[in-house]
Amino acid sequence: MKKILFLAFTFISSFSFAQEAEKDYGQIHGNFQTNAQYYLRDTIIDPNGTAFPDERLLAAGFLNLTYSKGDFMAGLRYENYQNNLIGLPEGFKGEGIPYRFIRYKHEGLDLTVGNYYEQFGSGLIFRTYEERGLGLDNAMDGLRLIYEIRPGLKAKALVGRQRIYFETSDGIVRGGDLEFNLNEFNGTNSRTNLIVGAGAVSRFEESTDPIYNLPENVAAASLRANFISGNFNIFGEYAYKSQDPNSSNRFIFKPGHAIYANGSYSKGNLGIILGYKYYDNFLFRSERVANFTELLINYQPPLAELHTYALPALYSYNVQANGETGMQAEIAYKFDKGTLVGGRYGTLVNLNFSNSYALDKSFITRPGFDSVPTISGTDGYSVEGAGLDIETRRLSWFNDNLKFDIPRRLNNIQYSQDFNVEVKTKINKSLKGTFSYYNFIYNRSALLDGVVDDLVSDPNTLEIVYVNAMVAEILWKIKPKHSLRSEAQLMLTDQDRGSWALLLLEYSIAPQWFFAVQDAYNYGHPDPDLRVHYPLVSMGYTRGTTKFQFNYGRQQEGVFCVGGICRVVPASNGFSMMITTNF
Amino acid sequence: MNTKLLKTLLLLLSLSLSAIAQDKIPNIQLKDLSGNMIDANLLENDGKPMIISFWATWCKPCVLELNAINDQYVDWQEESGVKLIAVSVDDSRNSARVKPFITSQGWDYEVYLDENQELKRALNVNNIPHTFLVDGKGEIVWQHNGYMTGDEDHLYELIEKLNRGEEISE
Amino acid sequence: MKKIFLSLAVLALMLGACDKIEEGDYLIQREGGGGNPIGGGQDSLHVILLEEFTGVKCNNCPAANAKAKELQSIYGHDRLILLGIHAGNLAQTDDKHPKAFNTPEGTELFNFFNLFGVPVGFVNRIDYLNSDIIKSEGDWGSTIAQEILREPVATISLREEIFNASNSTLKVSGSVATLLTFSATNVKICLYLAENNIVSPQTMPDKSVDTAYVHNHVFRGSFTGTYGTTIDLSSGSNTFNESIVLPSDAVKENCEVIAFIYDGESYEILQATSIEI
Repeated sequence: MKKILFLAFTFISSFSFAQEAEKDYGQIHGNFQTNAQYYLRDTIIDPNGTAFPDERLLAAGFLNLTYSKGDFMAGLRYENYQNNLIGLPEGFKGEGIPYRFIRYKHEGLDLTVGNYYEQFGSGLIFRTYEERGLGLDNAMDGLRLIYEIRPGLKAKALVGRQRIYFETSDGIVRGGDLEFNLNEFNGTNSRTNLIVGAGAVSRFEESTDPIYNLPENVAAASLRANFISGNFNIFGEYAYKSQDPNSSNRFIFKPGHAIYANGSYSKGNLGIILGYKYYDNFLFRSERVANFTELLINYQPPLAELHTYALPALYSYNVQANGETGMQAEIAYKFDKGTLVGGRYGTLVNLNFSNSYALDKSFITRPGFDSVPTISGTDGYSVEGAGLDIETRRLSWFNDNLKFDIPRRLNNIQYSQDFNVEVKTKINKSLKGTFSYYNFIYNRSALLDGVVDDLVSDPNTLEIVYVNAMVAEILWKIKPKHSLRSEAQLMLTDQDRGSWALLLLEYSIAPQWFFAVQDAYNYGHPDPDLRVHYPLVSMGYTRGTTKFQFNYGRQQEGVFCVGGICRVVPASNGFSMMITTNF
Repeated sequence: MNTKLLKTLLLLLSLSLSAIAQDKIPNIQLKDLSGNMIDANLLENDGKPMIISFWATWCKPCVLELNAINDQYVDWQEESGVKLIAVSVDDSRNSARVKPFITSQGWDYEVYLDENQELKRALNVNNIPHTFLVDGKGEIVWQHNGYMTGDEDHLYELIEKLNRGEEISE
Repeated sequence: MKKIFLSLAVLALMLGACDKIEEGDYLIQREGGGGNPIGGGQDSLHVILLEEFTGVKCNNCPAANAKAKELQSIYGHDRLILLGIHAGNLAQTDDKHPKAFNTPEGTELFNFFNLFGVPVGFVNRIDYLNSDIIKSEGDWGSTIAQEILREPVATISLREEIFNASNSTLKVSGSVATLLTFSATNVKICLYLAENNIVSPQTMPDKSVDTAYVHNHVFRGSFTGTYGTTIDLSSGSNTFNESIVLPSDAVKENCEVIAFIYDGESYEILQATSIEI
């Protein structure tokens, strides 16, 4: 199959090249990226050398090529790992072409053969995408057909197997989606619109398990609606998954339910967002037994703010596979220039609050092997009704007098709480500042150590981290083309690795150069030997679409998260290089 | 298999270096903030230049760039007639945030959503911010990755060049 | 409202196709509960060796261990042999875990097969050539269910020769006989020592430490080095004779010896057997 595609590709390209100069012989775009890291043995951050790779130099490279001409598009991606960087999945080894496709679009018909990415609604039942920083790529390999039955009524049908490293999964996935868009249907383009959709996905995987009678076909279906009216935007999606005993839920036969809803209002200087999530046994993969980011069919939006400053990002939220519920509220307001808070240029204030709780589960057990009670092979659990109970909850250890009344479910284990405030303003003609404050409650046992809540005998043994952090970022435009950006971060906590301080100075000479120096100091670590500095220097050079970046230094252990899916990045010391280009 | 692979790739690369006559925006659909679908290849600005900038609410340099341009947008539009189209690649968790975010930033751009990053992939964008400059004939004449304070001045120089009918050679 | 959603979703599901397993049918029924093994004795049947990599500080390992024992109760001790290899950075001692049971051979196997964590296992070390040798706990059952149906290609007999208590040396001997279908040319034989009933602290799923945890089938060392010794089976059969010095804290009565032959190219175990000593 690969060879045929190659030949087709080369044939078409050479054929079009042979055409006359005036004719449109299509166009080829591409991009190239390579990341390489040379590791140095650092006994302070890694005394046993467990995170130190034997290869010393690790590198990964990607080349994407896309050819398009009229209604026709084809592409491929070549990947090379010798071997993959630490922190990223080890399964990426060697080289190959794991992604290639041919696509034809004509008058409402869109057909793709080969690899493709697709999403139904918010992704609750189906979302395939690539997130290279996480080492996540669950592209489908098969057939996809999108057909516009009439304007405003679009149908999608797909079938295939998902990518796992350089192979495809054993499970076969097929699905369909139907979406109705009122404005498209009526041929109007107004600010009021109603979009309604329904989708279904099912997965087939053989079963030869000697203990459980596993269903070979597992299906999920969802209904969604998005109502937009001028300043309001309300979205809701409900999804259901049939019996899916798998290694993450420990082989229980309970179906899954999920609700994801979002509402926003924006007018003038004010923006308000409210969100709610409820995920019950909603992890869905192509194979029953898979790890981490492998073979995910669906996507559960985390409904938590993505923090990009280095210190607050150490406590980023990770969606819990076994179920969770939570909400998010955000208010953004721009104070106009000339007002008291607005100052001379205007000030933007953003407040954000989100939380996550475990579901209130009553476990159903059966006597298992050696008469040890187990939930495997049963319905698993049942979830109590939404018994909201108001209880005063301490917002942070920082100020004992600060208490908030926040609705809390009975007997639930809390996974996280995140309250943050961001103020952005222009101080004078050459200075811009962003000031933020963060308050986190982070259940380290659940989010980092993988302690599953239903196996916890005593909730008081869970390690909860209470964090207060502050960041000040100043951008100083020294003279045209020269600017200095500085970040001062402080993170205070008595738990986990203790308090941190960070200073970053980045000097850039537009449009080509930047130099940066950063030091993160873990001054509050409970172990005095680990109260170390993590210095890092970087420089970058950009020319057109080609960008080179070099870093040297010590990187602290942390998490890299995108969309609620996190990768633990071990501490490392060494040189790293990244080159990207686009053509 | 590997040598054949390399030969094919080299052939394609050399072709690409010679075959780039017209680079147009591919035929991918985007959603506006009211859920209306538009075809990216039909985006136009009446024969005048267009800036297409890929961004996301969580991408700080993107927001910095769009804010810097916003400060001068009124002047830019008056003098050159340029239009900026901001394509958000926020994943589904954040696309409901986009409208309130724009309102609070006070941006006047045309904003579209590229929810599963289809247009981003079709244009071979690796990281954001990534900005394209499209001339009056709908051809992509320049693109840039990353943002540093002052880049917008260089961008405006190129827009003025286009308006004078000059070629952009970088 | 929820009912409308639910019924519409179910309707969509019927188009999506799913298998519904009725409540009473979740578990595959076996006659007589867990004690009735599939198949009879081991003389002319293919035997599976499940090597589970584990560690005293690994909180997911007790569950994997229980799964391995459950599978052994289904197939019988004669057809499914278990071996717990303690290796990796969770098989280290600390103040709560005075013993870790890691061995140089176990660590070498961990590194050679590129393991990245525990618990994982090998089912007769199959699928090495297609990079699929590492099996997660959830896959053990179905992999064993398929492997156990294979026809045997050889038989191994094993017996204890002598145990010298003064220098803790154990000698065993045995023979390997191939059956008609045997085709491998580069064959190696391995003899491993395992010990049962060791009481030592182990981290449990909720991160607490159980000081009275009973470790079984713990890999304590090898008679023949990590990779075994070559054995020539071109004539159809051969004998072997090996010895080992027991670790100082090992209790001889709790030990068993596992012998297996494997294909030097594909690492696949062709036959295995074990005896208690």
